[in-house]
Amino acid sequence: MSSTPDALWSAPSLRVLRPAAVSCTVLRRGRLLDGCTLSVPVGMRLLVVGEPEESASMLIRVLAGLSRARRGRVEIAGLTDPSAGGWGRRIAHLGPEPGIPSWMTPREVLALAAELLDLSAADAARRTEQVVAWTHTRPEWLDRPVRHGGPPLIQRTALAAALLADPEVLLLDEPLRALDADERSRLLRLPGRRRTVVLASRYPASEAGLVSHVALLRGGRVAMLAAVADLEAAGLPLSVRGIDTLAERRAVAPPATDVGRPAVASQ
Amino acid sequence: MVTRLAVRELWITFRLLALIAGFIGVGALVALLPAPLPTVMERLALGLGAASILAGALSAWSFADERARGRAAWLVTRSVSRGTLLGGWFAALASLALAGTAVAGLLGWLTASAVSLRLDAGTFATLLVGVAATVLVAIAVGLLIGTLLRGPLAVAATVAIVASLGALAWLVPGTGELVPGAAMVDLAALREGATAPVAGLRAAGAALVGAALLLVVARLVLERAEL
Repeated sequence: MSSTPDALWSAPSLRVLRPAAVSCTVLRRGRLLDGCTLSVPVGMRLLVVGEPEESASMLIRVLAGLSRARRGRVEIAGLTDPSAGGWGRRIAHLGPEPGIPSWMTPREVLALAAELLDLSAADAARRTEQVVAWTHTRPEWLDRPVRHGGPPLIQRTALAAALLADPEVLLLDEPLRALDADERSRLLRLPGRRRTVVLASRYPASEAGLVSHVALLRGGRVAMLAAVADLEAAGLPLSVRGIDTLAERRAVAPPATDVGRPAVASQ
Repeated sequence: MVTRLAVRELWITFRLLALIAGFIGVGALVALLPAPLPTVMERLALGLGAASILAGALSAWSFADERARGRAAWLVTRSVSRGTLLGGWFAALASLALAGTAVAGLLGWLTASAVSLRLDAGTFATLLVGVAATVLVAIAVGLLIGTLLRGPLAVAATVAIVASLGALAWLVPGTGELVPGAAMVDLAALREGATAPVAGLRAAGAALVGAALLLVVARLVLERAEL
């Protein structure tokens, strides 16, 4: 689905430059986003944690176009147009409320998602097969209304519909909380080196292994953006407290290694 | 596509039945209770007014629910524009309500023409068009409120606004046909003998303009609304 050929993403120059998949500039939205500026390179798996907690979700919602920023600019894959002709079909969003009508069957949901993507019948069938396999949706569930499977099936189906587009950017807001931790982790270990994931979570520990970097939003701005490896090197856990402590330490003594890092943070 | 989904959602949640039953019930009630022409017309007008309020309430409830349950968000993140979402829901609700209005009008006409042979069909039809346009206003009010408020609050606010418009048309003389609900007042006052169909057309025109304006406002509000 991506309009960017894989060969282009594999080009050595792009690997060095790492263009921004998601970029927001001076976003303002009430007290939750107050001049938030962030650039997420292609392929980064970024965990966003907020103080207050809602700010991370708000950032995801603004990026997905569900909440409007009072000011600021959002670019995805270098495009500012959120319509289907712009970056509309390059992203997928999965929030805490899956938004699937409970009377629909998983097959109907996926058919609708394919229709909205203008996929050909053959493409739709092939991708449906892939996402059904990835989400471990049992064949006998496919033709029953999702409410019969409860929240776990609804969330699996929502993830399958999101992956149907083979999105370049996946915006996740407290996703798949109805599933057990192991299954959730398996489902969210999405393949694809060029796929960018931005994940808002109130429980960072549950995202261990899923993300490569963490961003801390404090007072509506990016207070810190660091690699998960930096947390581990500092002997800090992947938790709100651990991320907060690292941000405090960096505020006192910014690490020299930050220079030249691909992700740009803070305004 | 949004219209198709909306109709199915209305069907599954029994709101479609409530909407259709509201209008057809009015016609059936008028047909089943024998009365002289003035009473028949008053019952028909009053019933259609109540059904309009019901249509507005169901619109507000449905659209607020669509937002609250994240279904609107699901569509918008799949490149369905907010305007398409609003238009789809309006088309679904309006087509059902107009079908109900037509059936209620037909039953009302059959009942009235059984009581009096001198009722003017043209005037009755134009007043019914005015009533239909008023129903569209109620639906547009419901959708606008549904973009602003959630759940029961949206329903209560819509009922209050639509009922107030009806009361204004009924109680305040001299509003002409400019206030939505005037078509119901004129329908209630319809008696035997030929009359000019101007009042019904004027009421219909004013109501259609009102509905269009409300939809434009709803579109603008929805553009900034949380989904």
